[in-house]
Amino acid sequence: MKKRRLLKTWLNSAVPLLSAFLVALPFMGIGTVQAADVEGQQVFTLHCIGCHGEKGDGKGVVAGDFIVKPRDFTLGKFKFTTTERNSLPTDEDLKKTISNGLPTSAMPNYRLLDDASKDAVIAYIKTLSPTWTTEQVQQKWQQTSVPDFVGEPASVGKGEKLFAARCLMCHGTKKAQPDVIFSLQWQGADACNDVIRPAVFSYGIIKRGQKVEDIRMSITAGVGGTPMLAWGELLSEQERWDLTSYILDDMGKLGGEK
Amino acid sequence: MRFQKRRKAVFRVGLTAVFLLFGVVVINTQNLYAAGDPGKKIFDINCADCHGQRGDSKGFVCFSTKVEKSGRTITTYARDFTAGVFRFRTTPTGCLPAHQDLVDTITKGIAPSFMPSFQDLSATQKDELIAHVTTFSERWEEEDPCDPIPIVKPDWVGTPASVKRGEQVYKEMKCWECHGDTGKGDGKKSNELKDDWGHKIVPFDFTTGELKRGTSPEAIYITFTSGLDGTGMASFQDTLNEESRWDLVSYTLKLMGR
Repeated sequence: MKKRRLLKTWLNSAVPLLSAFLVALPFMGIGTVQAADVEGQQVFTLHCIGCHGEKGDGKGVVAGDFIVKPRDFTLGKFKFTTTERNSLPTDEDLKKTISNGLPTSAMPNYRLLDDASKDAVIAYIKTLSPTWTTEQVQQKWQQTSVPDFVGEPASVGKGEKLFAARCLMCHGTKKAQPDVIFSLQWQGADACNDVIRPAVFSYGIIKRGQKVEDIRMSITAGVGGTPMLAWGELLSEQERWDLTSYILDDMGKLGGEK
Repeated sequence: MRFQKRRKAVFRVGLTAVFLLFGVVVINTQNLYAAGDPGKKIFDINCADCHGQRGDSKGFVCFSTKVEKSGRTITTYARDFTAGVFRFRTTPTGCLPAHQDLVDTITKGIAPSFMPSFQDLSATQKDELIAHVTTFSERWEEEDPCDPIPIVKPDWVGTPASVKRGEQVYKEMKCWECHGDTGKGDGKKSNELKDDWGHKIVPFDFTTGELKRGTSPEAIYITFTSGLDGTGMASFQDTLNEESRWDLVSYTLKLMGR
Protein backbone atom coordinates (compact mmCIF):
# COMPACT_ATOMS: atom_id res chain seq x y z
CA MET A 1 0.00 0.00 0.00
CA LYS A 2 2.70 2.35 1.05
CA LYS A 3 4.72 1.32 -1.96
CA ARG A 4 1.89 2.08 -4.38
CA ARG A 5 1.37 5.53 -2.88
CA LEU A 6 5.04 6.25 -3.33
CA LEU A 7 4.82 5.19 -6.96
CA LYS A 8 1.76 7.40 -7.40
CA THR A 9 3.55 10.46 -5.99
CA TRP A 10 6.51 9.69 -8.12
CA LEU A 11 4.38 9.42 -11.25
CA ASN A 12 2.45 12.53 -10.29
CA SER A 13 5.61 14.60 -10.29
CA ALA A 14 7.56 12.75 -12.95
CA VAL A 15 4.96 12.73 -15.72
CA PRO A 16 4.46 16.51 -15.90
CA LEU A 17 8.19 17.07 -15.56
CA LEU A 18 9.00 14.63 -18.34
CA SER A 19 6.32 15.97 -20.68
CA ALA A 20 7.49 19.54 -20.00
CA PHE A 21 11.01 18.42 -20.81
CA LEU A 22 9.85 16.80 -24.06
CA VAL A 23 7.90 19.90 -25.05
CA ALA A 24 10.92 22.08 -24.25
CA LEU A 25 13.35 19.97 -26.25
CA PRO A 26 12.77 21.60 -29.63
CA PHE A 27 13.15 25.03 -28.01
CA MET A 28 16.46 23.94 -26.52
CA GLY A 29 17.57 23.02 -30.00
CA ILE A 30 18.21 19.42 -29.00
CA GLY A 31 17.16 16.50 -31.14
CA THR A 32 15.62 18.69 -33.81
CA VAL A 33 17.26 19.63 -37.05
CA GLN A 34 15.36 21.92 -39.34
CA ALA A 35 14.81 20.63 -42.84
CA ALA A 36 16.93 23.38 -44.36
CA ASP A 37 19.84 22.50 -42.08
CA VAL A 38 19.80 18.91 -43.23
CA GLU A 39 20.16 19.93 -46.84
CA GLY A 40 22.76 22.54 -45.91
CA GLN A 41 24.66 19.92 -43.97
CA GLN A 42 24.60 17.65 -47.02
CA VAL A 43 26.06 20.40 -49.18
CA PHE A 44 28.63 21.09 -46.48
CA THR A 45 29.56 17.42 -46.24
CA LEU A 46 29.87 17.13 -49.98
CA HIS A 47 31.91 20.25 -50.71
CA CYS A 48 33.33 21.87 -47.58
CA ILE A 49 34.17 19.21 -45.01
CA GLY A 50 37.60 18.29 -46.42
CA CYS A 51 39.07 21.64 -45.45
CA HIS A 52 36.60 23.17 -43.00
CA GLY A 53 36.19 19.93 -41.03
CA GLU A 54 33.27 17.93 -39.74
CA LYS A 55 32.52 20.46 -37.00
CA GLY A 56 33.22 23.42 -39.28
CA ASP A 57 36.17 24.36 -37.11
CA GLY A 58 38.61 24.60 -40.01
CA LYS A 59 40.35 21.38 -39.02
CA GLY A 60 39.52 19.25 -42.05
CA VAL A 61 41.77 16.38 -43.06
CA VAL A 62 43.72 18.41 -45.62
CA ALA A 63 43.75 21.69 -43.69
CA GLY A 64 47.01 20.90 -41.93
CA ASP A 65 48.96 21.31 -45.15
CA PHE A 66 47.81 24.85 -45.81
CA ILE A 67 49.83 27.87 -44.76
CA VAL A 68 46.71 30.03 -44.59
CA LYS A 69 44.19 27.94 -42.65
CA PRO A 70 40.54 27.41 -43.71
CA ARG A 71 37.99 29.54 -41.87
CA ASP A 72 36.91 28.19 -38.48
CA PHE A 73 33.13 28.71 -38.61
CA THR A 74 32.71 28.04 -34.89
CA LEU A 75 34.32 31.43 -34.13
CA GLY A 76 31.80 33.40 -36.18
CA LYS A 77 34.58 35.61 -37.61
CA PHE A 78 34.96 36.34 -41.30
CA LYS A 79 37.43 38.17 -43.52
CA PHE A 80 35.52 39.35 -46.56
CA THR A 81 32.48 41.33 -45.55
CA THR A 82 30.68 44.54 -46.48
CA THR A 83 29.74 45.01 -42.84
CA GLU A 84 31.76 46.66 -40.08
CA ARG A 85 35.16 45.00 -40.04
CA ASN A 86 35.32 41.90 -37.78
CA SER A 87 31.53 41.66 -37.56
CA LEU A 88 29.26 39.06 -39.22
CA PRO A 89 28.94 39.09 -43.03
CA THR A 90 25.72 39.49 -45.00
CA ASP A 91 24.28 36.49 -46.86
CA GLU A 92 25.40 38.17 -50.09
CA ASP A 93 28.97 38.40 -48.75
CA LEU A 94 29.02 34.67 -48.00
CA LYS A 95 27.39 33.82 -51.30
CA LYS A 96 30.04 35.84 -53.11
CA THR A 97 32.88 34.01 -51.36
CA ILE A 98 31.27 30.65 -52.18
CA SER A 99 30.65 31.61 -55.81
CA ASN A 100 34.00 33.29 -56.47
CA GLY A 101 36.21 31.30 -54.15
CA LEU A 102 39.25 33.06 -52.74
CA PRO A 103 41.82 33.26 -55.55
CA THR A 104 45.44 32.46 -54.54
CA SER A 105 44.11 30.49 -51.55
CA ALA A 106 42.89 26.89 -51.35
CA MET A 107 39.23 28.00 -51.40
CA PRO A 108 37.84 26.97 -54.81
CA ASN A 109 34.94 28.69 -56.53
CA TYR A 110 31.52 27.05 -56.55
CA ARG A 111 30.15 28.94 -59.51
CA LEU A 112 28.30 25.83 -60.70
CA LEU A 113 26.57 25.15 -57.41
CA ASP A 114 22.87 26.04 -57.66
CA ASP A 115 21.49 28.97 -55.70
CA ALA A 116 19.32 26.83 -53.41
CA SER A 117 22.35 24.80 -52.30
CA LYS A 118 24.32 27.98 -51.61
CA ASP A 119 21.46 29.34 -49.51
CA ALA A 120 21.18 26.04 -47.67
CA VAL A 121 24.88 25.81 -46.87
CA ILE A 122 24.89 29.44 -45.70
CA ALA A 123 21.98 28.61 -43.38
CA TYR A 124 23.99 25.63 -42.11
CA ILE A 125 27.15 27.72 -41.55
CA LYS A 126 25.04 30.01 -39.38
CA THR A 127 24.25 27.11 -37.03
CA LEU A 128 27.94 26.53 -36.34
CA SER A 129 28.60 29.58 -34.18
CA PRO A 130 26.46 31.16 -31.43
CA THR A 131 27.59 34.58 -32.68
CA TRP A 132 24.85 34.35 -35.31
CA THR A 133 22.20 34.43 -32.58
CA THR A 134 23.76 37.23 -30.52
CA GLU A 135 24.98 39.64 -33.18
CA GLN A 136 22.97 41.61 -35.74
CA VAL A 137 24.12 41.56 -39.36
CA GLN A 138 24.27 45.04 -40.79
CA GLN A 139 25.72 46.04 -44.14
CA LYS A 140 27.89 49.12 -43.75
CA TRP A 141 29.63 49.64 -47.09
CA GLN A 142 27.72 49.85 -50.35
CA GLN A 143 28.87 48.76 -53.79
CA THR A 144 29.11 51.66 -56.23
CA SER A 145 29.77 51.89 -59.94
CA VAL A 146 33.32 52.64 -61.05
CA PRO A 147 33.89 56.36 -61.84
CA ASP A 148 35.36 57.25 -65.24
CA PHE A 149 38.62 58.66 -63.88
CA VAL A 150 39.69 55.31 -62.38
CA GLY A 151 42.77 54.08 -64.22
CA GLU A 152 43.69 57.48 -65.65
CA PRO A 153 47.34 58.51 -65.12
CA ALA A 154 46.41 61.43 -62.84
CA SER A 155 44.42 59.12 -60.58
CA VAL A 156 47.23 56.51 -60.59
CA GLY A 157 49.68 59.25 -59.55
CA LYS A 158 47.48 60.40 -56.67
CA GLY A 159 46.97 56.79 -55.64
CA GLU A 160 50.70 56.13 -55.59
CA LYS A 161 51.22 59.00 -53.14
CA LEU A 162 48.43 57.68 -50.88
CA PHE A 163 49.85 54.14 -51.15
CA ALA A 164 53.34 55.14 -50.00
CA ALA A 165 52.49 56.02 -46.40
CA ARG A 166 49.58 53.66 -45.80
CA CYS A 167 50.05 50.44 -47.80
CA LEU A 168 53.64 50.17 -49.03
CA MET A 169 55.13 48.83 -45.78
CA CYS A 170 53.11 45.61 -46.05
CA HIS A 171 52.21 45.25 -49.74
CA GLY A 172 55.46 46.54 -51.27
CA THR A 173 55.75 47.14 -54.98
CA LYS A 174 56.37 44.99 -58.03
CA LYS A 175 60.09 45.57 -57.58
CA ALA A 176 60.32 45.08 -53.84
CA GLN A 177 58.06 42.79 -51.82
CA PRO A 178 58.61 42.71 -48.08
CA ASP A 179 59.03 39.10 -46.99
CA VAL A 180 56.50 39.28 -44.17
CA ILE A 181 54.05 36.94 -42.49
CA PHE A 182 51.54 38.00 -39.86
CA SER A 183 50.67 35.45 -37.18
CA LEU A 184 47.04 35.70 -36.23
CA GLN A 185 44.83 34.62 -33.39
CA TRP A 186 41.13 34.92 -34.07
CA GLN A 187 39.03 35.91 -31.12
CA GLY A 188 38.15 32.73 -29.27
CA ALA A 189 40.93 30.75 -30.93
CA ASP A 190 43.29 29.12 -28.49
CA ALA A 191 46.59 30.02 -30.08
CA CYS A 192 48.31 32.08 -32.74
CA ASN A 193 47.76 29.26 -35.21
CA ASP A 194 46.72 31.20 -38.29
CA VAL A 195 48.92 33.24 -40.57
CA ILE A 196 48.41 35.67 -43.42
CA ARG A 197 50.61 37.33 -46.01
CA PRO A 198 49.68 40.75 -47.38
CA ALA A 199 48.17 40.56 -50.88
CA VAL A 200 50.79 40.52 -53.63
CA PHE A 201 49.31 42.74 -56.36
CA SER A 202 51.66 41.55 -59.08
CA TYR A 203 49.73 38.25 -59.05
CA GLY A 204 47.11 40.34 -60.85
CA ILE A 205 44.30 39.19 -58.58
CA ILE A 206 43.04 39.77 -55.06
CA LYS A 207 41.08 37.37 -52.89
CA ARG A 208 37.90 39.44 -52.73
CA GLY A 209 37.25 39.18 -56.45
CA GLN A 210 38.12 39.98 -60.02
CA LYS A 211 36.23 43.23 -60.50
CA VAL A 212 37.57 46.76 -60.14
CA GLU A 213 34.90 47.38 -57.52
CA ASP A 214 36.31 44.49 -55.45
CA ILE A 215 39.60 46.37 -55.04
CA ARG A 216 37.75 49.44 -53.81
CA MET A 217 35.65 47.32 -51.44
CA SER A 218 38.71 45.61 -49.95
CA ILE A 219 40.31 49.01 -49.33
CA THR A 220 37.05 50.35 -47.92
CA ALA A 221 35.87 47.49 -45.71
CA GLY A 222 39.27 45.99 -44.90
CA VAL A 223 39.85 42.32 -44.19
CA GLY A 224 38.57 41.03 -40.84
CA GLY A 225 40.98 39.56 -38.33
CA THR A 226 44.05 40.71 -40.26
CA PRO A 227 46.11 43.91 -40.16
CA MET A 228 44.23 45.18 -43.25
CA LEU A 229 42.20 48.09 -41.91
CA ALA A 230 38.88 49.44 -43.16
CA TRP A 231 40.27 52.50 -44.92
CA GLY A 232 36.72 53.68 -45.57
CA GLU A 233 36.96 54.98 -42.00
CA LEU A 234 39.91 57.21 -42.86
CA LEU A 235 39.96 57.96 -46.59
CA SER A 236 37.42 59.72 -48.80
CA GLU A 237 35.60 57.94 -51.63
CA GLN A 238 37.78 59.79 -54.15
CA GLU A 239 41.00 58.78 -52.37
CA ARG A 240 39.93 55.13 -52.29
CA TRP A 241 39.23 55.16 -56.03
CA ASP A 242 42.67 56.76 -56.62
CA LEU A 243 44.24 53.95 -54.60
CA THR A 244 42.25 51.50 -56.72
CA SER A 245 43.76 53.11 -59.84
CA TYR A 246 47.27 52.67 -58.49
CA ILE A 247 46.66 49.05 -57.48
CA LEU A 248 45.19 48.30 -60.93
CA ASP A 249 48.40 49.70 -62.36
CA ASP A 250 50.51 47.59 -59.97
CA MET A 251 48.50 44.54 -61.00
CA GLY A 252 49.38 45.26 -64.62
CA LYS A 253 45.75 45.79 -65.57
CA LEU A 254 46.13 49.18 -67.21
CA GLY A 255 48.28 48.06 -70.12
CA GLY A 256 51.51 49.78 -71.12
CA GLU A 257 54.97 49.07 -69.78
CA LYS A 258 55.74 49.91 -66.20
CA MET B 1 4.19 41.20 14.93
CA ARG B 2 2.63 43.91 12.75
CA PHE B 3 5.54 46.18 13.52
CA GLN B 4 7.94 43.48 12.36
CA LYS B 5 6.03 43.09 9.06
CA ARG B 6 6.21 46.80 8.41
CA ARG B 7 9.93 46.79 9.12
CA LYS B 8 10.35 44.00 6.59
CA ALA B 9 8.40 45.97 3.97
CA VAL B 10 10.45 49.07 4.60
CA PHE B 11 13.60 47.00 4.32
CA ARG B 12 12.47 45.54 0.97
CA VAL B 13 11.57 48.94 -0.45
CA GLY B 14 14.89 50.29 0.73
CA LEU B 15 16.81 47.43 -0.83
CA THR B 16 15.02 47.91 -4.15
CA ALA B 17 15.80 51.62 -4.05
CA VAL B 18 19.48 50.88 -3.44
CA PHE B 19 19.61 48.48 -6.39
CA LEU B 20 17.81 50.96 -8.66
CA LEU B 21 20.15 53.76 -7.62
CA PHE B 22 23.15 51.54 -8.24
CA GLY B 23 21.82 50.72 -11.72
CA VAL B 24 21.34 54.38 -12.54
CA VAL B 25 24.86 55.18 -11.36
CA VAL B 26 26.34 52.38 -13.49
CA ILE B 27 24.45 53.46 -16.62
CA ASN B 28 25.39 57.09 -16.10
CA THR B 29 29.08 56.44 -15.58
CA GLN B 30 29.07 54.27 -18.71
CA ASN B 31 27.55 57.11 -20.70
CA LEU B 32 30.01 59.55 -19.21
CA TYR B 33 32.84 57.18 -20.10
CA ALA B 34 31.71 56.98 -23.73
CA ALA B 35 31.23 60.73 -24.00
CA GLY B 36 34.48 61.51 -22.19
CA ASP B 37 36.65 59.14 -24.24
CA PRO B 38 35.87 59.60 -27.96
CA GLY B 39 39.35 58.20 -28.72
CA LYS B 40 38.17 54.71 -27.75
CA LYS B 41 36.17 54.29 -30.95
CA ILE B 42 39.08 55.50 -33.09
CA PHE B 43 41.38 53.09 -31.24
CA ASP B 44 39.02 50.12 -31.50
CA ILE B 45 38.58 50.56 -35.26
CA ASN B 46 42.15 51.35 -36.25
CA CYS B 47 44.53 50.09 -33.58
CA ALA B 48 42.93 47.33 -31.50
CA ASP B 49 43.58 44.45 -33.91
CA CYS B 50 47.31 44.72 -33.25
CA HIS B 51 47.52 46.61 -29.95
CA GLY B 52 44.53 44.87 -28.33
CA GLN B 53 41.35 46.53 -27.08
CA ARG B 54 42.93 46.90 -23.66
CA GLY B 55 46.15 48.23 -25.15
CA ASP B 56 47.97 45.12 -23.95
CA SER B 57 49.21 44.11 -27.42
CA LYS B 58 46.88 41.09 -27.44
CA GLY B 59 44.90 41.73 -30.60
CA PHE B 60 44.05 39.43 -33.50
CA VAL B 61 47.53 39.99 -34.86
CA CYS B 62 49.94 38.20 -32.55
CA PHE B 63 53.17 39.28 -34.21
CA SER B 64 54.80 39.68 -37.60
CA THR B 65 57.87 37.95 -38.91
CA LYS B 66 59.95 39.61 -41.57
CA VAL B 67 62.96 38.17 -43.35
CA GLU B 68 65.55 40.83 -44.10
CA LYS B 69 67.77 40.82 -47.19
CA SER B 70 70.59 39.35 -45.11
CA GLY B 71 68.36 36.35 -44.32
CA ARG B 72 67.87 37.41 -40.73
CA THR B 73 64.32 37.06 -39.34
CA ILE B 74 62.82 39.84 -37.28
CA THR B 75 59.76 39.20 -35.12
CA THR B 76 57.80 42.31 -34.22
CA TYR B 77 55.12 42.70 -31.56
CA ALA B 78 52.77 45.66 -31.36
CA ARG B 79 53.56 48.06 -28.51
CA ASP B 80 52.00 47.06 -25.17
CA PHE B 81 50.63 50.35 -23.83
CA THR B 82 49.88 48.98 -20.37
CA ALA B 83 53.57 49.23 -19.45
CA GLY B 84 53.76 52.94 -20.24
CA VAL B 85 57.19 52.35 -21.81
CA PHE B 86 57.82 53.89 -25.23
CA ARG B 87 60.75 53.66 -27.61
CA PHE B 88 60.31 56.71 -29.77
CA ARG B 89 60.58 59.76 -27.57
CA THR B 90 62.30 63.13 -27.67
CA THR B 91 62.32 63.03 -23.86
CA PRO B 92 65.22 61.66 -21.75
CA THR B 93 65.43 57.95 -21.02
CA GLY B 94 62.95 56.69 -18.41
CA CYS B 95 60.48 59.48 -19.18
CA LEU B 96 57.05 59.29 -20.76
CA PRO B 97 57.01 60.51 -24.38
CA ALA B 98 55.97 64.07 -25.14
CA HIS B 99 52.49 64.51 -26.60
CA GLN B 100 54.09 65.54 -29.90
CA ASP B 101 56.16 62.31 -29.96
CA LEU B 102 52.96 60.26 -30.02
CA VAL B 103 51.40 62.60 -32.60
CA ASP B 104 54.50 62.07 -34.78
CA THR B 105 54.38 58.26 -34.49
CA ILE B 106 50.66 58.18 -35.32
CA THR B 107 51.13 60.59 -38.24
CA LYS B 108 54.21 58.96 -39.79
CA GLY B 109 53.59 55.36 -38.82
CA ILE B 110 56.50 52.96 -38.34
CA ALA B 111 56.95 51.49 -41.80
CA PRO B 112 59.64 48.86 -40.98
CA SER B 113 57.34 47.31 -38.38
CA PHE B 114 54.20 47.63 -40.55
CA MET B 115 52.44 50.37 -38.64
CA PRO B 116 50.77 52.47 -41.33
CA SER B 117 50.56 56.24 -41.29
CA PHE B 118 47.39 57.62 -39.72
CA GLN B 119 47.87 61.07 -41.21
CA ASP B 120 44.21 60.92 -42.28
CA LEU B 121 43.04 61.46 -38.71
CA SER B 122 42.38 65.10 -37.88
CA ALA B 123 44.51 66.83 -35.23
CA THR B 124 41.56 66.58 -32.82
CA GLN B 125 41.11 62.88 -33.53
CA LYS B 126 44.81 62.26 -32.88
CA ASP B 127 44.54 64.09 -29.56
CA GLU B 128 41.48 62.01 -28.64
CA LEU B 129 43.29 58.83 -29.64
CA ILE B 130 46.33 59.74 -27.52
CA ALA B 131 44.04 60.58 -24.59
CA HIS B 132 42.65 57.02 -24.88
CA VAL B 133 46.14 55.48 -25.11
CA THR B 134 47.08 57.23 -21.87
CA THR B 135 44.23 55.40 -20.07
CA PHE B 136 46.04 52.07 -20.52
CA SER B 137 48.83 52.79 -18.03
CA GLU B 138 48.69 54.40 -14.60
CA ARG B 139 52.00 56.04 -15.39
CA TRP B 140 50.13 58.80 -17.21
CA GLU B 141 48.26 59.71 -14.02
CA GLU B 142 51.30 59.55 -11.80
CA GLU B 143 53.82 61.34 -14.01
CA ASP B 144 54.11 64.14 -16.49
CA PRO B 145 56.29 63.70 -19.57
CA CYS B 146 59.71 65.34 -19.20
CA ASP B 147 60.73 68.28 -21.37
CA PRO B 148 61.86 67.31 -24.87
CA ILE B 149 65.59 67.32 -25.56
CA PRO B 150 66.53 70.26 -27.80
CA ILE B 151 67.97 69.24 -31.18
CA VAL B 152 70.31 71.68 -32.92
CA LYS B 153 72.23 70.07 -35.75
CA PRO B 154 75.76 71.48 -36.24
CA ASP B 155 76.91 72.30 -39.82
CA TRP B 156 79.77 69.84 -39.71
CA VAL B 157 77.65 66.69 -39.38
CA GLY B 158 78.58 64.34 -42.22
CA THR B 159 82.03 65.83 -42.89
CA PRO B 160 84.88 63.29 -43.24
CA ALA B 161 86.49 64.52 -40.02
CA SER B 162 83.25 64.01 -38.10
CA VAL B 163 82.77 60.54 -39.66
CA LYS B 164 86.27 59.61 -38.51
CA ARG B 165 85.65 60.84 -34.98
CA GLY B 166 82.31 58.98 -35.03
CA GLU B 167 84.05 55.75 -36.01
CA GLN B 168 86.27 56.13 -32.96
CA VAL B 169 83.19 56.67 -30.73
CA TYR B 170 81.57 53.55 -32.28
CA LYS B 171 84.64 51.56 -31.20
CA GLU B 172 85.01 53.08 -27.74
CA MET B 173 81.33 52.85 -26.82
CA LYS B 174 81.32 49.22 -27.98
CA CYS B 175 78.44 49.80 -30.40
CA TRP B 176 79.98 46.91 -32.36
CA GLU B 177 79.18 44.43 -29.60
CA CYS B 178 75.59 44.44 -30.84
CA HIS B 179 75.60 46.27 -34.17
CA GLY B 180 78.73 44.54 -35.53
CA ASP B 181 82.02 45.88 -36.90
CA THR B 182 80.45 46.90 -40.18
CA GLY B 183 77.04 47.90 -38.78
CA LYS B 184 75.19 44.84 -40.02
CA GLY B 185 73.63 44.17 -36.66
CA ASP B 186 75.69 40.99 -36.33
CA GLY B 187 77.85 41.77 -33.29
CA LYS B 188 78.81 39.02 -30.86
CA LYS B 189 75.95 39.91 -28.49
CA SER B 190 73.37 40.27 -31.25
CA ASN B 191 71.87 36.81 -30.76
CA GLU B 192 71.12 37.06 -27.08
CA LEU B 193 69.08 40.25 -26.91
CA LYS B 194 65.58 40.47 -25.49
CA ASP B 195 63.34 43.43 -24.86
CA ASP B 196 61.66 44.18 -21.52
CA TRP B 197 58.70 42.01 -22.53
CA GLY B 198 61.01 39.00 -22.99
CA HIS B 199 60.71 38.97 -26.78
CA LYS B 200 63.83 38.27 -28.80
CA ILE B 201 65.02 41.38 -30.60
CA VAL B 202 67.83 42.04 -33.01
CA PRO B 203 70.10 45.10 -33.26
CA PHE B 204 69.56 47.41 -36.22
CA ASP B 205 71.34 46.50 -39.45
CA PHE B 206 72.51 49.90 -40.71
CA THR B 207 73.07 48.58 -44.23
CA THR B 208 69.29 48.19 -44.71
CA GLY B 209 68.85 51.92 -44.13
CA GLU B 210 65.34 51.23 -42.81
CA LEU B 211 65.35 53.14 -39.56
CA LYS B 212 61.98 53.09 -37.81
CA ARG B 213 62.11 56.78 -37.01
CA GLY B 214 63.35 57.76 -40.45
CA THR B 215 66.89 58.49 -41.55
CA SER B 216 67.17 62.22 -40.88
CA PRO B 217 70.29 63.15 -38.85
CA GLU B 218 67.99 64.66 -36.20
CA ALA B 219 66.07 61.39 -35.81
CA ILE B 220 69.29 59.40 -35.39
CA TYR B 221 70.68 61.95 -32.93
CA ILE B 222 67.59 61.76 -30.73
CA THR B 223 67.80 57.94 -30.69
CA PHE B 224 71.40 58.11 -29.36
CA THR B 225 70.34 60.76 -26.87
CA SER B 226 67.01 59.41 -25.59
CA GLY B 227 67.77 55.71 -25.99
CA LEU B 228 65.08 53.23 -26.96
CA ASP B 229 63.38 52.43 -23.66
CA GLY B 230 62.36 48.80 -23.25
CA THR B 231 65.28 47.60 -25.40
CA GLY B 232 69.03 47.23 -24.94
CA MET B 233 69.63 50.48 -26.85
CA ALA B 234 70.87 52.79 -24.13
CA SER B 235 70.76 56.56 -23.87
CA PHE B 236 74.14 58.25 -24.35
CA GLN B 237 72.98 61.61 -23.01
CA ASP B 238 75.24 61.31 -19.95
CA THR B 239 77.98 59.16 -21.43
CA LEU B 240 78.80 61.17 -24.55
CA ASN B 241 78.88 64.91 -25.03
CA GLU B 242 76.71 66.51 -27.70
CA GLU B 243 79.55 66.72 -30.25
CA SER B 244 80.39 63.03 -29.93
CA ARG B 245 76.76 62.09 -30.41
CA TRP B 246 76.62 64.15 -33.62
CA ASP B 247 79.90 62.50 -34.74
CA LEU B 248 78.23 59.16 -34.20
CA VAL B 249 75.34 60.38 -36.39
CA SER B 250 77.88 61.17 -39.12
CA TYR B 251 79.40 57.69 -38.88
CA THR B 252 76.06 55.84 -38.91
CA LEU B 253 74.90 57.90 -41.88
CA LYS B 254 78.01 56.62 -43.65
CA LEU B 255 77.21 53.03 -42.60
CA MET B 256 73.80 53.51 -44.20
CA GLY B 257 75.44 54.74 -47.38
CA ARG B 258 74.12 58.28 -47.03
